[in-house]
Amino acid sequence: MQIYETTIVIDSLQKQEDSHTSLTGIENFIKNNGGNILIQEEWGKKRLAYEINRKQYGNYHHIVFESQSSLPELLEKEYLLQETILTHLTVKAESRHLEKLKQKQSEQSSAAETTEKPASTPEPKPTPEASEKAASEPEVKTEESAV
Amino acid sequence: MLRKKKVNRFYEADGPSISDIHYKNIDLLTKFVTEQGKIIPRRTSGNDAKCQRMVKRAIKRARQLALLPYVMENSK
Repeated sequence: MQIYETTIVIDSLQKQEDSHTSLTGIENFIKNNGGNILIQEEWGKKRLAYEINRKQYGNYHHIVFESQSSLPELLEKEYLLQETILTHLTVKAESRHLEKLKQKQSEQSSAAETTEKPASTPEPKPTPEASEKAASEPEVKTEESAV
Repeated sequence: MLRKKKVNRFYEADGPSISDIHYKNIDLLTKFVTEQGKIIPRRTSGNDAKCQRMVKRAIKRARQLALLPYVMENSK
């Protein structure tokens, strides 16, 4: 397994839905072909240094993933099929960047955990009812097991 | 005639580190590009061969992503 970095520039004039679908499509493509996404960044809308297809602005997305060596070649072909992507670049992550990438990955994973936690906390609130149910259920089970 | 001493800024204590050389770090890369958009040679920039190779690669990658121009607008 090797770590790769890929950056894509999506046309900023496209609707948000279209750009979102193309991005999720790429994520799914990586996952379906045995890749594992480590870091995902959005650099936002930037002015292009030169016009591409008469477009002056693009939305930059950066993905770091781990995969077999065959995936980047397939990914490049996938990019060419997507009309919303203006340019793309897929490179092997260099050894001098690996430490920073690991730090970022741990930061992103910790941030994801903190966002997930508030969603899970409201569930245990109705404790009295749940405790009653929980108390009643084991009794039924014991009866069944006894029969 | 006095000449300014060439310094490899990546080996200075308060300078950028080698791990900062990346195609997304445009602020750093623009220091190694002329007003026209050409890569500054290492006889001028003071980089050693290894650093110059890293900078060159990063600039060329940034150009492909339209983060840096091949030729500046004002010099076309």
